[in-house]
Amino acid sequence: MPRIPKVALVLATLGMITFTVTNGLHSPTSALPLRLGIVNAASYSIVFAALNEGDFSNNGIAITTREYETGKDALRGALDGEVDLAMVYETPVVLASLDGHHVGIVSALARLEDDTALLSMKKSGIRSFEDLRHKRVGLTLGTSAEFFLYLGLRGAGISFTDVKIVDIDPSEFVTALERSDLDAIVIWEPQLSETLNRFGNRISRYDSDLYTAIPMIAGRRERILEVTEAVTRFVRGLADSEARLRSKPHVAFKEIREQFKKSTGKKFPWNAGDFEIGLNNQLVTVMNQEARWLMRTRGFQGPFPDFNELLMPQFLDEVFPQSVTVLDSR
Amino acid sequence: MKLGLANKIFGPSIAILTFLTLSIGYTGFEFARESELIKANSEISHRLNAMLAELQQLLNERQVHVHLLVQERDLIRNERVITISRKISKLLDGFLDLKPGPAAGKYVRRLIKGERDLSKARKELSSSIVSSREAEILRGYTFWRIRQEKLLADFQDMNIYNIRWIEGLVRSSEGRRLQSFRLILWLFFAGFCLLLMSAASVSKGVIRPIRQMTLAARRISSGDLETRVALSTREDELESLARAFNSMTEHLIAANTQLREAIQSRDQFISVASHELRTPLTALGLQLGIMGREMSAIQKDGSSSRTARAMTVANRQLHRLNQLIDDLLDVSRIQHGKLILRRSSTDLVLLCQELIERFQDQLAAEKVEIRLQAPEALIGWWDASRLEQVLVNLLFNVFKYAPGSPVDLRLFCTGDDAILVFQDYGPGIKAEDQRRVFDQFERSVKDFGVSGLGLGLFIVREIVEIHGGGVRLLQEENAGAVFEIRLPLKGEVEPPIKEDAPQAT
Repeated sequence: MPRIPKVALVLATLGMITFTVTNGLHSPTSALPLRLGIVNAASYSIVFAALNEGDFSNNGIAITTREYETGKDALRGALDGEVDLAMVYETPVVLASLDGHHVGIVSALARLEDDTALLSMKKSGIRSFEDLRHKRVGLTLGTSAEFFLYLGLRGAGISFTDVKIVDIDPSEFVTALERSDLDAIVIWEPQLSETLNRFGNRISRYDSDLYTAIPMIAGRRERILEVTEAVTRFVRGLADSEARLRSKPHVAFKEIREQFKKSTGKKFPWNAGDFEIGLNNQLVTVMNQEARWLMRTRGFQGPFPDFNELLMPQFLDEVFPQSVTVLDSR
Repeated sequence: MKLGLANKIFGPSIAILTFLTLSIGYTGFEFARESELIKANSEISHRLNAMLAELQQLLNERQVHVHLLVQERDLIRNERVITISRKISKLLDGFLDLKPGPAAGKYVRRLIKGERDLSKARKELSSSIVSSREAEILRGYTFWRIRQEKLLADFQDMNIYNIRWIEGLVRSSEGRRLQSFRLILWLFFAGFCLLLMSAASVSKGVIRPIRQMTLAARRISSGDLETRVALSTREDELESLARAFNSMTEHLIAANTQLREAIQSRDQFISVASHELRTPLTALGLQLGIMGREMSAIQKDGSSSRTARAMTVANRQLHRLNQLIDDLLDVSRIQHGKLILRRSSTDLVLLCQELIERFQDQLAAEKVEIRLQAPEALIGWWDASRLEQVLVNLLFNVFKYAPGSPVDLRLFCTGDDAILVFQDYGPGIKAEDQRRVFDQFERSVKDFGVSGLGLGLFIVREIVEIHGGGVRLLQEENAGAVFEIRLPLKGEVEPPIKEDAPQAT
């Protein structure tokens, strides 16, 4: 065995002491498992980018994904214990909360103005929301599409009862339109761009500047509290993904943009600034507005819920405190 | 010769000093920059807070006027709402002028967009009021409220963000301070490492060669003349010193060899000359003896007494010449380790008494009185003739250097040793001469007008030491030369050759 010089041993020991003093003792982290219910929607790009770039595995989290057709289904999966966390928009969360489920919101992911739109076949004669009276409008009930349509109809001065609502899954929209089973649909990205691309000039798009879609990560509150460490690491992965988006906005989501363009034939509809993790008053306000609407139209009983209580800011507080702009409800 | 050593010592020191200066300078610069950043951000935050408070007030005021506009259908309220809205828009533009950073800028842009949407809603509302269509008024007011709520939510978000931003600045400042602390620790560690490496380098380059040279010098001084300082490929002052050291050692060895050869030649010459001189002297002695006897016969016939005196002088000079040659032969024997003791049971007191008696005439002639203080007998295992030679040599020194001086001769016994103290009261021996007085061919006084080879005390010391004893010169006040001779009663060292020594019985 080669003889190690005393000076080298002394230096190595001093180096270790200095490293320990300056960095503290860190135990090696083993990857924690976490089940995530995913929805194939571009509005969740921060999560997909984190998955693609390995931000979760880098933070010691082993993600198992399960795909759902809508956020409503994903949240249902989370509430039923199929997954720990779910990708979901605000409407299913509000509905679940009104139904008495203990929903916990970990973080919002974006704030999107052009995510949802009304598409109508030109041959149906629809030129605006006002023309929807007595028309067959397809949408998935219990999703944000329902609130979007409500706001559109309200702006046009007509009510839900004046329109024939058809509850239909997003996967069936195209077939229904081609068969002329529907006059219009309310749909979100990427199916929105896909449908526009498919039907070309046979279809028209109508937006509403009143509706703001807020995709988020939510789940059953009790379950989230059971896997606190895993959720914290998950949020850390989200923060890394968002940081990359901020530092390189032009190259961020490159794969997702290309995939979107490939599948829809349309340009990715949002800017980097539309995506941000956080818990904010805008989210609470939108949920309050939707809750008021749902209580009025669906006849929910009981006191008006305090949506601040759904927020679980402890994870973001630890990882990225500046992203939490609500007062802590805990 | 290159200045490698200076580079070794000063080079690392200057490098470490430069490193630490730059490091500390950099840390100081970072601290200053951070302080400036915090100061600038604090000012922005302060102004932002003031503007947010004003914005809050304007939003509340406008909300009241819109509410009254819908309730009272008073279009003057609409003018008031327009005025407030303009103030709000101006204030929001002011927010952007503050350049509060990308995150806060995002909130401001949202407020501006929300305000634009609200302006559109206000126009629709005022149109519906003008046209007095109730359903449109209700719808317009509903949309106004939805947008107003969103605007207020954005406002609250911005407000809290501002607080969080300040908190973040503090946290970030603390983090950077910790980072600076770590950096300083690492810098000091790095400096310490450099220092150690420099010390090790200096030790290797400077101290180690010096140690090697010290060790080599010690070995050489202890007699190992083959020792050399190991040379390296370095070209510095120490390497030059090492080469000079080795060169000096080579010269020393050469000089030593020459000296030894010279001494050997001298000893050989003395030995050969002594032997060569002894033969004709013996013949000369015999002839002088014959001549003496014949002179005595002639003298009886009335021959010249002058010739008889000349014969006496010749005999005395011959005797003296014999003594000198004996001394030289003894020195030669000592040099070659061939001085042989013939030990026997000897009474030192008796030996002294017989000597005094034998030299009575000469002592009288030289006016030297020997005062003997001795026990009745002091018997040891000694060579009597050699001890007599010791006493004679000491006595002859008195004749030469202290004629007319009394001599105290004290004999006594201490433990296993016999002590003989021989003291005269002559001029003594100077302090500077005492060290070499026992060396061969040395005389304490060279210009005293006395002859001799300077071998007497050398032979004294050698005889005493071969007996296993020792001799030393004592320094006493008001005394001349004082010699103390110690002789073991039983010789510890057995004589090397004893073929003719009497066996103790």
